[in-house]
Amino acid sequence: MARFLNFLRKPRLEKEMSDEMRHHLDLLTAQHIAAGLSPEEARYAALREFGHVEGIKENARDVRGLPWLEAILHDLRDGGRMLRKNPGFSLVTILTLAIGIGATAAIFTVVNSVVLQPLPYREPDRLLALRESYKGKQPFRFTGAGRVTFREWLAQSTSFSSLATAYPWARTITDPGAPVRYYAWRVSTNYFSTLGVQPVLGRTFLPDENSPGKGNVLVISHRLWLGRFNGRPDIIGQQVHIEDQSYTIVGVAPKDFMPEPVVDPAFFVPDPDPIISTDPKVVLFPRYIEVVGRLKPGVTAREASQEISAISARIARLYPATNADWTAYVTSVLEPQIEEVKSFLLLLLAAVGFLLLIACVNVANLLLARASTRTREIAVRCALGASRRRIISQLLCESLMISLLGSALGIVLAYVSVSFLAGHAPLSLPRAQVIAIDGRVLAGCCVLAILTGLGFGLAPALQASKVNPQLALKEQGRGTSAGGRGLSIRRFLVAFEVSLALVLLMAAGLVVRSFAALQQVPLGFQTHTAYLAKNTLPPAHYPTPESQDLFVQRATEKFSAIPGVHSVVFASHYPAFGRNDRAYKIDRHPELDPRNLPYAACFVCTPSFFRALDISLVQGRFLEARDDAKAAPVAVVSRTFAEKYFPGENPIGQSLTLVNPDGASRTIVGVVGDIRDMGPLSERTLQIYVPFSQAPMPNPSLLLRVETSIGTLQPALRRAMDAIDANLPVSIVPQLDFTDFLHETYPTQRFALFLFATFAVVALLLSALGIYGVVAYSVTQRTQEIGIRLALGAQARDILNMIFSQTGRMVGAGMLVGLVVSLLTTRFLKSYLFGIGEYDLVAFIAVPIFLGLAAWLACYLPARRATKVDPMTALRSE
Amino acid sequence: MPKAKPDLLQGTLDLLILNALQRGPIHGFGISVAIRATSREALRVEQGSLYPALYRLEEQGWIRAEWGVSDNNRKARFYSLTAAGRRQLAVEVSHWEQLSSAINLVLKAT
Repeated sequence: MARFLNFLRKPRLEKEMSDEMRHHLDLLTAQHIAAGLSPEEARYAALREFGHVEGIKENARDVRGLPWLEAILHDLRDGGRMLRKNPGFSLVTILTLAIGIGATAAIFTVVNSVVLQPLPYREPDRLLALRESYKGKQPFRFTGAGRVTFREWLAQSTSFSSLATAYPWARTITDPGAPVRYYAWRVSTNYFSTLGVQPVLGRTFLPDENSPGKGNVLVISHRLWLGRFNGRPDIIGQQVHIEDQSYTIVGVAPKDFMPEPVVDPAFFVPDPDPIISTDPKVVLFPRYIEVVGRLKPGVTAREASQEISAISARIARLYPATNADWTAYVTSVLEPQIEEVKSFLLLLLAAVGFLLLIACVNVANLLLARASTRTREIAVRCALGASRRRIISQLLCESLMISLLGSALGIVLAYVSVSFLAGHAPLSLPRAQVIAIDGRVLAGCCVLAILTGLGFGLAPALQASKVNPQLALKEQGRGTSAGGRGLSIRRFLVAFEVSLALVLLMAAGLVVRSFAALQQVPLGFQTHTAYLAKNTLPPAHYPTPESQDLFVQRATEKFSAIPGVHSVVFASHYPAFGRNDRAYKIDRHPELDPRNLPYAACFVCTPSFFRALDISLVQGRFLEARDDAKAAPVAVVSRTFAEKYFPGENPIGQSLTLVNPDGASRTIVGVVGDIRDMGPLSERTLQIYVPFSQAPMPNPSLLLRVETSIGTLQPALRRAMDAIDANLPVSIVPQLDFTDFLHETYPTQRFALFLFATFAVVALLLSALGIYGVVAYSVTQRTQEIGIRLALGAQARDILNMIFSQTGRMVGAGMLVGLVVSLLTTRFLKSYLFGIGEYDLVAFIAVPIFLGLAAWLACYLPARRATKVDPMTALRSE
Repeated sequence: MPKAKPDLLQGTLDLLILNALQRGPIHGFGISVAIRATSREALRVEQGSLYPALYRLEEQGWIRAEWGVSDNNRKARFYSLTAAGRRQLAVEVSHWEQLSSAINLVLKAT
C-alpha cells in the first residue's frame, strides 16, 4: 500500500532522491577539497567514489516503488509510441483483429441470446412442453396436443404440479380506437402461474375465470400496452370491445414475455373450461393446443415422458379411431422454439470462428514480420542491458495493446452488427427480439483479446528475445538468420489462412449457387405492391353464407372505386399465406378410396384472384363474376392437377367434388399455371380454385394490389369500410406486408447467403493481405539477392517466376488442405442447399480459381516491385 | 574498480545503519562517514547499497526521514530511529552476537 502511495507521489520522491544524492556528492567533494585536491579533481574523485548515480537511483527506486508497474507503464508508453510511429501497421492489425472479434462477438451474441439464454420463467428447467406424435406410416412429431389427450393427461398424470394450455386465437379489437385485428392466445387460467410469470401491472387470471360469464378478461402484452394504449398507467380496469363482446383489461404481461418465438401474441384471454365429452368434434379437435407442465419436485423429465406415453397408450385403446397411432413425448420449453435454427446458428458460429482464426493468423503474421524488422532495435536494447524478461514483456505489452484496442473496436463493431442482424434477421429466427450483447459476450471479448494478444504476441516475442546482439548488430539489422526462420513460420501461417479462407469461400460459393437455383424456380405468381388484411365477419352480424357473400361483393365494389387501387380480392387464403387443404373426389375416378381421399390446396376466391396475382391461363377460362350462387358449381384446376387426372384428354368439362363444404359436383371450366404456394422449395402443385360466391366463408382475407403507397390509401379504405360496417378493421397488419413476406419465403437461405458471403469476402481480403504481407516482406529482405541476380543477367520475368513459384507453393499447399477440409465439411451445409449437391462441381472448381486469382494479385503487386530493383542501388546499400 | 575492502557480510548493512543512527539524526553521507570512521576504515558502505537500504528501512518503518539543515547550511535529509527501529536494532544486535560467537567457536575448534 505504502508502495502504491509512493508510486502516486513519484515525481516528488524522485526530486527528493536527486537532492539527497547531490547533497551527498557535494559533501564528498568538500571532504576531498579539505584533503587538498583541486575542486575539479575533488568532484571527479567524489563521482568515482559515489558510483553510477543513475544506477543507484534505479536500485533505490526498485526498493520503494512498484518496479513491475513502472515497467508495464513504461512498456505501454513505448508501445503507444511504436503504434503511433507505424500507423499503417497499427491500423491494419487493429482493424483485422476488430473485424475478427467483432464478427465473432456478433454471431456469438445471436447464439447466446437465442440458444443459450433461458426463457424468462421461474425455474425454466422444470418446465416441459407435452406433445403428441404420430407413429403411423409417416411418423411426425406434432407441436401440440389434442383436447382429449390433454384432458386425460390432466386427469391421470402425477408428474406435474400443474399443466397449462394455450392456443392461437386471432380477433379484432373494435373499441376504443380503430378496429385492428390481432394475433392473440387463449390460455388456461393457470398459464401464467405455471410459467411463473408475474404481470408488470394488475394481475393474471383467477382460477374461476374459465367458467361461463367470468371469462371476459384480458391480459395484454407489453407491446400492445405501449402501442395501442400509449402505455397509460390507468390501463387496468379499462373496457375493450373484441368484436361483439366487452372485456376488462386485468393485467399487462412483462416486456420479455414472448411465449411464441416469432410473432408474439398481443393479448391473452382465458380459455373456457375444457368440455368433458366424447363428442367426436371434441375428440377430433386439431392437435394444436400447446401444453406446458411444471414438474413436481424430484420428478425427472424422463419419468414424466414415460408416464405421458403410457397415458397416451391407454387413450389410444379408448379412442382407436382417432388415437390409434399416436403417442406422446416431452421436450424442454425452449428447445422446440429453437430447434430449427440451432444447427444453423452453430454452423454460423463455426464459420465466424474460422474468420477469427484467419484474423489472428494475420495479426500473428504481421507481428512476426515486425519483430524481425526490429531485430536491430532489440539487439541494441539487449546490449544496453535489458533482460530477456524485459524484452519479452515489452513485446507482449505491445501485442496486448494491439489486441485490447482491436477488441474495443471489435465490441463497437459487434454493437453495430448486432443491431443490424436483429433488425434484418429473418422472420423465422426465433427470439430475435431478445438479441442483445450481454456481460457474457463482453467478458468473452475481453478474454479473447487477452488470449489473442498473448497467444499471437508470445511467439514473435520469444523469437525476438533470442536475438544474439553481437550477430544481429554485425548483420546491420538485416537479421537474415532470424528472418529466415521467421519467414518459414510466416509462410506456414499464410498457407494455413489460405486453407481456412478456402473452406469459408466454398461454403459461401455453395450457398450462392443454391440461392441462384432458388431464384430461378418460377413461383407462378407475382405479388408486387400487394397488401393483405385478415378479416373475420362476426357471426352475429353475418350469420349466413348469403350475408357473407353480400359483404364481399359490396366491399369489392367499394374498394375498387378508390383511385390507386388496382385490384381487390377476397379469398380463403393466398400463396405463402395460410393453407386451406381440402379432400376431393374425381367423378371419373370412383376407385379412389372414400376413407382416404387425396387433399389439394383449395383457394376459395373472388374472380379477380388470378389477375391480381398474375397467374397464367393454360386452357379454358378463369373464374368469372357469372359463377355466382345461382349458377352451376364450377372449379378451375392447376396444370399438374389436370395432367395427373386427365392425361391426354381435355380437362375442360370434366368434374370433381369437394367433400367440404357442399359435396356438390363441380365442372372444370379452366386450367391455370401451377403456383408454388409454399415458396420455391414447395413441391405442392395440386391446386383447385372455387368461386367465393359458391362457397362463402366468414373469414375471407382481403388482398389489395395498389398503384400508390398503401399508407396514403388508408383513410380512403377506412371510409369505404365505414360505409359497409364501421366495426370491421381494414388494418394492414405490418408483418403481413405481402411483398416482404414473399421475400421471406426462403429466409434462412437469404440470411445464410448474406452472412456466409460477408464472412467469405472478409476472409478473402484478410488472406490476400496475409499473402501480400509475406511477399512484400520477403522482397524487401532479398533486395540484395535480387540485385545480384539482375546484375548477373536475370530478366524481370525470371524474378517474377521465382517469387511466384515460392508463393505458389505456399498458396497451393493451403488450397489443397482447404479443399480436403471442404470435402469433409460441406456435408454440414447439406440441409441449407437447394438444387445442388454438397459436392457441387461448379463451386469446387470456381472457388479455388477465384481464390487463386486473388492470391495471384496479392503476390503480383509486391513482386512487380522486386523487378524494379536497380542492381546498383541494391548492391550499394550493403 | 577493484574493491579495496571486503564486502559487508550479507544482512549486516541494516545493523550498521541502525546502529549509526543511535546517536541521533544524521544524513546519508554522515552515515557512511560514521560507519567508516567507527570501523577505522575497515568497513566501507557503497553508496549503491546505502540509499536503497535507507529507503527500505524507511519503508519498513524502522527509520524516519526529515528535511533539515546540515552543518554547512544546506538542505539535507536527516534519518532517525523510530521506536520500532530501536527494537529492531536490539534484535539485529542479538542476532549478530549469536552469529559471531558461533563463528568464533567454529574457528577456535580448528
